[in-house]
Amino acid sequence: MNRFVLPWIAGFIFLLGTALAQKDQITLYVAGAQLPDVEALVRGFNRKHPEITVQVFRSGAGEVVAKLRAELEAGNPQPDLVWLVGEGFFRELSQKNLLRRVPPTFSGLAAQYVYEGGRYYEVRLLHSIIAVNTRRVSTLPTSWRDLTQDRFKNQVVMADPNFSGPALVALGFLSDRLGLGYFEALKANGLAVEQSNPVLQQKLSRGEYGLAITNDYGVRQEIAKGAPLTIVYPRDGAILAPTPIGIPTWSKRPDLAEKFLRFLLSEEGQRIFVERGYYPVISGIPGPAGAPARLPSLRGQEASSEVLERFNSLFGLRR
Amino acid sequence: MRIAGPLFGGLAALLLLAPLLALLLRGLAHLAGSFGDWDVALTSLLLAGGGTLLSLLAGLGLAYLSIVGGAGRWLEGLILLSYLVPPFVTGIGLLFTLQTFGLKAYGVPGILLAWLLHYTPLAYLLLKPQLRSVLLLLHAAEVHGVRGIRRLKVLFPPLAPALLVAGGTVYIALLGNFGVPAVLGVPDRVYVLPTLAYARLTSSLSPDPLGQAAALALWLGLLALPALLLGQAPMVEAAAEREREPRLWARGLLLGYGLAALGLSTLGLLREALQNPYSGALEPAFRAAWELPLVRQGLQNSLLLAGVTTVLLVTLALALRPFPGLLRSLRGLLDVYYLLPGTLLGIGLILLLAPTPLYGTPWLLLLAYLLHLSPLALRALESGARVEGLVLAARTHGLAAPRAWLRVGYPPLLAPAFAAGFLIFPLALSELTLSALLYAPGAETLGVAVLSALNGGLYREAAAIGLALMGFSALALLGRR
Amino acid sequence: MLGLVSLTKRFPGGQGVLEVSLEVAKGEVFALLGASGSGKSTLLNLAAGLLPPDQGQVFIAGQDVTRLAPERRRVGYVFQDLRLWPHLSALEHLLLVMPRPDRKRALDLLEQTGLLEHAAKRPGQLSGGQRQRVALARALAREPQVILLDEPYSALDPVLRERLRLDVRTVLKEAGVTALHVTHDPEEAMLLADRVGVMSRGRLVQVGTPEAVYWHPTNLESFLAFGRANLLYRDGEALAFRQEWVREGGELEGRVLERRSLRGEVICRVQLPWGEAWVCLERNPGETVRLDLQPLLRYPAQP
Repeated sequence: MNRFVLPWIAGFIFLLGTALAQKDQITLYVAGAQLPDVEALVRGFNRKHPEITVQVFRSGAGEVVAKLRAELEAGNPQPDLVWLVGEGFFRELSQKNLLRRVPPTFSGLAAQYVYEGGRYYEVRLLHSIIAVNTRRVSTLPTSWRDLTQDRFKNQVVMADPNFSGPALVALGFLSDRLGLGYFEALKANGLAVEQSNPVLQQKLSRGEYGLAITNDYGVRQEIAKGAPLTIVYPRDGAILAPTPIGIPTWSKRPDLAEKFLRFLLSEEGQRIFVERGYYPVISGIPGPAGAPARLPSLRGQEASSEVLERFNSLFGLRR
Repeated sequence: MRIAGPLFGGLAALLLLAPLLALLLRGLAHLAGSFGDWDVALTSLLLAGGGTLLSLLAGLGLAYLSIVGGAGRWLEGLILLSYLVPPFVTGIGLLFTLQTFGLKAYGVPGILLAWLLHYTPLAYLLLKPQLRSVLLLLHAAEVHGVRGIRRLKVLFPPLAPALLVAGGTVYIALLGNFGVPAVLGVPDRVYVLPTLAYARLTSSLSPDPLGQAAALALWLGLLALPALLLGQAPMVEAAAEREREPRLWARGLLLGYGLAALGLSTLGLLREALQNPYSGALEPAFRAAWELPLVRQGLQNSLLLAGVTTVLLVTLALALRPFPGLLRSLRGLLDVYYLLPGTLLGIGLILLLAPTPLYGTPWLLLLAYLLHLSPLALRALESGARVEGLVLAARTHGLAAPRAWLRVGYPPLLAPAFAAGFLIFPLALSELTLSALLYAPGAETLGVAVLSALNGGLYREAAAIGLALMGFSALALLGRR
Repeated sequence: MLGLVSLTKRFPGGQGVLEVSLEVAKGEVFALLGASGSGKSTLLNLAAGLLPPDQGQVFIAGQDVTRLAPERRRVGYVFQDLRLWPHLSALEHLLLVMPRPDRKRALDLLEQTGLLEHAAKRPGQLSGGQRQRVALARALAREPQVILLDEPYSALDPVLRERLRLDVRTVLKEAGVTALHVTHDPEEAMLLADRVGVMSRGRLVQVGTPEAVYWHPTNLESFLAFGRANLLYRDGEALAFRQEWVREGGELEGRVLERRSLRGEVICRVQLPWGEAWVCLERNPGETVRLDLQPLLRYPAQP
C-alpha cells in the first residue's frame, strides 16, 4: 500500500509548496474594463516588466466588490490592486485605512484624478452615453429625457446595475437628476435590462435593440469592428463614471503593484487606453479616434442601495 | 485498536463532511430570512419537476425506439453525444441556433428545451435495460393472451421502480444545474436556486452574501432530499438481448432525433463561430478565441485539473480496492457530493476554507473536483470485476498479498479503471458549477472562460470554445465499450 | 501430513458449527463426501487459511500453521470456480506460483496434465476441461505439501468428467502428493480416494476406506452419501438398503410396478409391504417377486 501512496503524497506536497511559493506575481481585481482591454494592458506592462506575472480577476463591479467583501470577512483578501467602477467602496477602504498611498508624481496628471492625496487614482475616463443602432433608429435622441418618448418604445436597453458599475453610476446620476420617475417612465416605455454592457452591445449591434444607455468605450470598439452603431452624447451631459484604482495595505508585493499603476499612468499605458476607446487622463495625449476632442460630461455617483432596491423591484431583478 | 478504528473512521467522516456541516451551520441562521425567496424555490421545483417528466418521456420513447430498431453502437453514440456536451454549452448552442430562426431561447421554454436535449440521454441510459426486460414480460403476457389495456398491468408495475430511480437521478441533476439557467434564465429574470445563490454571493447589496447563499443552498438540499431518499430501488433483472427483426422506421426516428438534438445545439455555435455577424463573411473565430489568454489559461488549467483529478481518483480507488469495506463506506460518504447539487459543495468549501491559504489557489478547485467526482471512481472499481477470488487463489499458491494484488488482482481491474477515467476526465474538463464559485484569479477553468467570454460579449469566441469543448467531450464516447 | 485438530468454526448467522478432527497421511488421497451445505468447502478454506478457525489447530507436515497467512502454508488449491487469472496464459499461471520459476519444470507439468500444446493460451481460449487441468497444474506447480480440491468437476459434462477424474488420480499419485478432495459424488470418491470421510452438519460422521463406508455405513448420513439408496419406515425404524444389494429368492414378497434401465442394469420399482423401492431386478411390471434384502441396515427413524 505505502509503496503506492507515499510518492503521491510527496508529489502533492511538493506541488503545493511550489504553487504557494511567492513569485514575482500580483493579483488584480478589476471591473469596468473588458477582458481584451485588461489583456492588452497586461501585455503592454509585460513588455516593460516581463518578470512580473499579473493574475486577473475580472467581472462586473457588483461581483468584484462582493468577492472582495467575502474575502475581507474571511480575513484572506487576495488582490494586490483593486480597480472598480464607483467611488463608494474606495471611500470605505480608505476610512478603514486599508489603502496604501502612492505619491502623486505623475507628469501631466490633473489634480482631479488624484483621490485623497494619492490613496487612489483615476487612470482613464469611462462615460455612459446613448448608443444607437442606425439601422433601426434614424432620428437620434438628443437628451436622456428623449429616451422616454413614444417613438423609442420597446427599443431601449441598459445593463443590470447590480452587476455593472457604469450602469450603477448611470442609475445614480439619472435618478438624482431626473428622479426615479424617469426610470418608471422608461419602464413604461419598455426599457429592457441586460446582464452586462458587452452583452447588451452585442445585441444592440445585431439589431435586437435600437438604443442603449451604455459605456462609450465598448461601443467605440464595436464600431471599429463594423457594427452599425453611433454614439449620442446627450446635451445634458455624458455621465462620467469614476473608475478608481488603488493598492490595498494587505498586498504582499506593493512594490510590484505600484509598478503596474505607474505603467497605467505612463504615456504607453495611456495610449493603450485610447486604442481601446477610453479617454486618457494625462494631458497632451489625444482622445480616441472619431470621438470629440472635448467631451462635456458630468461626474456621476453610484446609486444608493435604496435606489438600487427600488430599481430592482421595478424591473423584477433578484439579488 | 478496537476503539481507534471507529474513532478514526468517525473523525475521517467528520472531516470529509465538514463542508456540508459548515454550510448547515451558516445557512440555518439565515434560513428564516430566505423565506422571501420561496418563489425562486418554487420555480426551481417546478422547472426541475417538469424537466424531469419531459426527459423521462423522451428517454422512454428513445429507449423503445432503440430496442425495437436495434440501435447499433454509432446510432446510440449519436444519442448519447448530447449528454457528453457540457449543459451550458448546450444552452449557448440552443441560444444561437434559435436566434438564427429569429426565436428567443431565453426563459422557461428555452431552459426546458436545453435540459431536454441534455438530460434525455441520461434517462435513456437508465431506462433502456429495464424497458428491455419489461418488454420481454409484455411479450410473455401477449403469448398468453393478454391484450388491450390489460397489457399496461404487465408493463407499468415492473417499470415503475426504474422510472422512479431514473426520475430521481434526472431531477437532482436538473435541480442542481447552474449552466443552463445561468445562460438562458438570468437574462429573462427566471431565477432558480443555483443562479440566485450565485447572484447572492456576488451581490454588493447583501449584508452577508455568504450566509444568504448558504441558506439558499440549504433550500436546494432540502428540495433534493426526497429524490435522494428514493435511493436505488430494486430493479427488474436485466435480460439478455432477444433477437428481433430491427425495425427500420424506429431507427429512422432515432436517427432523426439524434440529428435534430445535435443540430439544435451545434448549428448556432457553428454559425456564430464561423461567420462575422455584421458582414456575413466566413471568418472563423477559433484563432481569436485561442489568442485570448484567458482561454489558453483556462484550457491549460482545465486540462491539468482534469488530468490530476482523474489520475488521483483512479489511483485512490485502485489503492482502496483491496479493502472493499473501506471503499464502500468511503463511497457511501462521498456519494453525497456527487448526488447533491454542486452549489452546496462549492459554498460549503468557501465557508470552510476561505480563511486558509488554500483559498484563492487552484488547490481549492482540485479539492472540490476530487470530492465531487470521487464517487464515480470508487463506484466504478467497487462494481468492476470481482477479483477477490483471484487474489485469494494467488495467496493460496504462495504469493504474498501485495504481490498477489499486483500480479493478478489489478490487471483485470485496469479496464474498469480506464472506463472510470474516461468518465471523469471530460466531466472535470468542462465543469462549471464548482469552477464558477471557486476559481482563483489566474486559475480560471475552461468553463469559466466560456461563461466569462459570453458575459463579456465575446459571443463568437465563446461559440468557438464551446465547439472545442464539444469535441473534447465526444472523446468520452471512445471510452465506451 | 495434514492434521486438523478439534477445528471449530461457527457459521455466520448462527447456522450451526463446524467441528472436525482429521488426519490425512502423506501421499494419501482423502475424499470428503457430503451433501451441499454440510461444511465441506468451509473445511477446505480453514485448511488453506482463507478462513480463520474459532478454535483448534491446523498442522501441515507436522508444523502448526493455524496462524500462518495462506501464502505461507504450502498448499495447492483447485477451487470449485477454478479462479484462473484471465490475463495470464497456462504457462504463466504455473511460473507465477512456482517458488523458483522454472520453465522446464512448468512445461513438464503441462505435459503431465495434457496441456503442452495449450501452454500459451489464456483461460478465455481454453475449454472447460482444459481450464480444469490448468487449475490442477497450478496447484501442483507450487510444490505443495497438501492439495485441496473443491468439487473440481461439478461444472463439466459427464464424459469429460469421467476421463478427467481418472487422470487426476494418476497425476496425484505420480506426484506423491497428499490430497483432500471435496465432492458430493460417491462415484468420484470411490474412484479417487484411499479413504473417505462423510460430513454432515459440520461434523465428520464416518471415516474409512471407500468399501468400508459403502458397505458398513455406521449412520444414516453415511448410508445416504453413497446414493442409490432405499429408505423404508417401519415401527419407528428406518430400513435402509441399496438398489444393487437386493437379490431374488428371499422371503419378502413384492410386486413389480415399473421397469427402467440404467446404463447396463435394469431397475424396477417394486411395491413392498412397507412401501415402494427401486431395486436392481430384471422383471416386468405386474410380476410378483420374492426378495432378499440382506444386508439390511436399520437406523432410528428421523421424522
